[in-house]
Amino acid sequence: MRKPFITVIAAAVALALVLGVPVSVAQGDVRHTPGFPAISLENMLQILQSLIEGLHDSELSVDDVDKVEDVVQYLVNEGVVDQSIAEAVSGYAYSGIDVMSELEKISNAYLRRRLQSLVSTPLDKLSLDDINKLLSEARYLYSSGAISYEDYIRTLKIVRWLFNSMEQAKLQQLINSVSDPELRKYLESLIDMYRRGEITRIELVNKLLQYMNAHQLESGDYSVVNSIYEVLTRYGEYIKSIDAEWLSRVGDLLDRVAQTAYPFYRPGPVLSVAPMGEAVAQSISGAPSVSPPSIALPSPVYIGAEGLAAVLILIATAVAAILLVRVLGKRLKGAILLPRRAKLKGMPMASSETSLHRILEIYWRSVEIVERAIKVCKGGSETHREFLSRVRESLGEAAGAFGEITRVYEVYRFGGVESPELARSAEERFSYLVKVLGVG
Amino acid sequence: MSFKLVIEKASSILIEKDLEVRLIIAALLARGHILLEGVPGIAKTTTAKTIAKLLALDFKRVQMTPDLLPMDIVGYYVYDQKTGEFRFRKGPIFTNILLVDEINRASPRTQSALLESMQERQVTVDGTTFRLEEPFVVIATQNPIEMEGVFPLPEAQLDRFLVKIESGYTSKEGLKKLIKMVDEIEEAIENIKPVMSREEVLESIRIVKEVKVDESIYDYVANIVQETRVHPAVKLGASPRAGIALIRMAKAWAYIDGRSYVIPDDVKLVAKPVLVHRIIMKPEYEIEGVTASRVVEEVLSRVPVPKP
Repeated sequence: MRKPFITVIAAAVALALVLGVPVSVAQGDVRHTPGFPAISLENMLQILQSLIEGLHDSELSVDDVDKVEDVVQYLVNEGVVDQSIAEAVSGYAYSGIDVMSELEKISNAYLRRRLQSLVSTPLDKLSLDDINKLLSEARYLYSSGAISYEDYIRTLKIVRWLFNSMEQAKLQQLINSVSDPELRKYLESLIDMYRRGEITRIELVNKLLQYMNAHQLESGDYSVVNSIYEVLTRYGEYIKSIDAEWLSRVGDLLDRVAQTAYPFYRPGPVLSVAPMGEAVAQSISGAPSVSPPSIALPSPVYIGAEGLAAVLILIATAVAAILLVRVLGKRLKGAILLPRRAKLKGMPMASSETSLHRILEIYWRSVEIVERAIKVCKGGSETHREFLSRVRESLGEAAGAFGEITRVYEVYRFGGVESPELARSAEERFSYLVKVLGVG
Repeated sequence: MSFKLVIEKASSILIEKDLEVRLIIAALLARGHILLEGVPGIAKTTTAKTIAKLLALDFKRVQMTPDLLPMDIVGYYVYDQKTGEFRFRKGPIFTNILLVDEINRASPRTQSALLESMQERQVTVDGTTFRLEEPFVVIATQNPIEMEGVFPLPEAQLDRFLVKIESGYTSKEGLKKLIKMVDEIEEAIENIKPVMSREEVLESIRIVKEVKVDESIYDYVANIVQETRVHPAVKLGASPRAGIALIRMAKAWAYIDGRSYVIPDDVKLVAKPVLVHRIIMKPEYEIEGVTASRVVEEVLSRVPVPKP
């Protein structure tokens, strides 16, 4: 009785996939990436998220966040990605942020208070030490799981804003302290040129040196010029360091997300608006065939008769998929772990007992469970111990079990210890982990 | 026999020197030499002396100067009037732990004589070869600030040091504790009782060689070394000797931790002291403030750890 039912469902799904996908792709201006793998929007966003979170491996700095966010902002402006998709990425651009409203959104009361006190401090009273202290605190709070990713990113945005404001104030203060009016004027013009990207840093240094050689400066002015150079080299530097390959990789990824999330999406009329900032414009304009930054207005999608047919097919696909999940249930869940299992297949089996090979499987399945349970991702360059110490606190009562699984994995994987007791211990802890975290 | 005990004991005397002590002991177990970079007055001599005492090892110190000759370090023949023969007078190199203060102040000739002896673990004077004592470890110091009247070590010679440890000032709290308890600390150093014998140290060196290294760890190390060579900011990446050093240090690190096998964490923890001084940066990146240390950090954050 059940078999024909499955056959019918499978046929429906196959039909829906065969008919539905080409129809949806063929709509109007919809762009399609050839060879695009069949991967869900959720997975795609996860990839994008891990790309951004991957920066955590090497301690996420404000500059790193800026790089990601500038790229996302740029892609939005170029019409490659819809605003709503970009907003799905936690590290969304924040140029020109409303600091007070960002502050209000921070859910951790302690962090909010700390930031409020920093923001309300006059810029001339604020030191880099204060900012660094807060940054370290935020990093610690985030790595220990005390604050959410959103709170962390918001903190970084505010810190970056503070830093930029401080640098600007310092620059102005330095210029004001130059005693020679001619030099003051010259420095102001140089700074403007540097900000606009009309001169490189080397040219800036050369021009400063030439000026100093040609003019007899007061001794104090030398140190001021030096300080100005130092500030300038920090200021805005992060924007220039976006490399083309990285940009194209993220762009490609976001493009694919756009295709998956909105099959009917097409870039709307592009309205030119004021640039985000001269430095950004300059860095972007270096790329081939790129128009000046602009904001895409997504045009409303009017669904006509053709569109309606496509929607119906998509609904049929969705219904069929839901039924398929209900029928095949666990088998499909298992398939999610397929990539890591495939890697496990390549490992040599322990000679004495087949169950020993299971230790590796248990460890990697436990990692998946932990990742899903506390919404973290094990970085590729993160060791098993580093991952354990990162998730330990968030795991609560399951920490002991995951710790033991990690220990057993280490002893077996790197120590080459082949003992059935180890396998048994891992198996027991795994059952407990599944029970406590409620995902299998 | 536990080196953890040695580290604990040393840490109870020396303030905020845990990592340095551990690295020095690991280098000693890996039969390597140490380049200690730091400004004067940060307890470099005291650290070396404390370790030597705890391990019941012989300790000597040489202050390098531009007029120091190789024979001042390795030794020389003197005429014995009683016997009417030439007798070899051993130089300070005949010891277990040799602290070479300000190595970059010695002339290149003396430097290379010392470094050769370090590598060969023997000295040859007038055609006679003398084996150096085991264990033998050189802790050479250099001041990163002074540039006048110094002879910087060439890259090829830097490569001969297993690790380079950057030693800094203690924290404010540490400094307060130090100036408050200086007499007690000095007394404690004087009264140190060895917690290990020389034989036990030699046995440990032998065991470290047997620490298991999984095939995937060799791959991991090779990938790290390879990655330093293709990094855009690097002019000359890590040498094959660097790869060997990384494995040796990782083995010693694992042994100190009480394990008989190496894990990726061991490699990561020793990577900076092992690799940083072997990487030559491109000048344009150096000007921009990109350091070799930053490159190693980046490499470690990029190279995937063994999987599954």
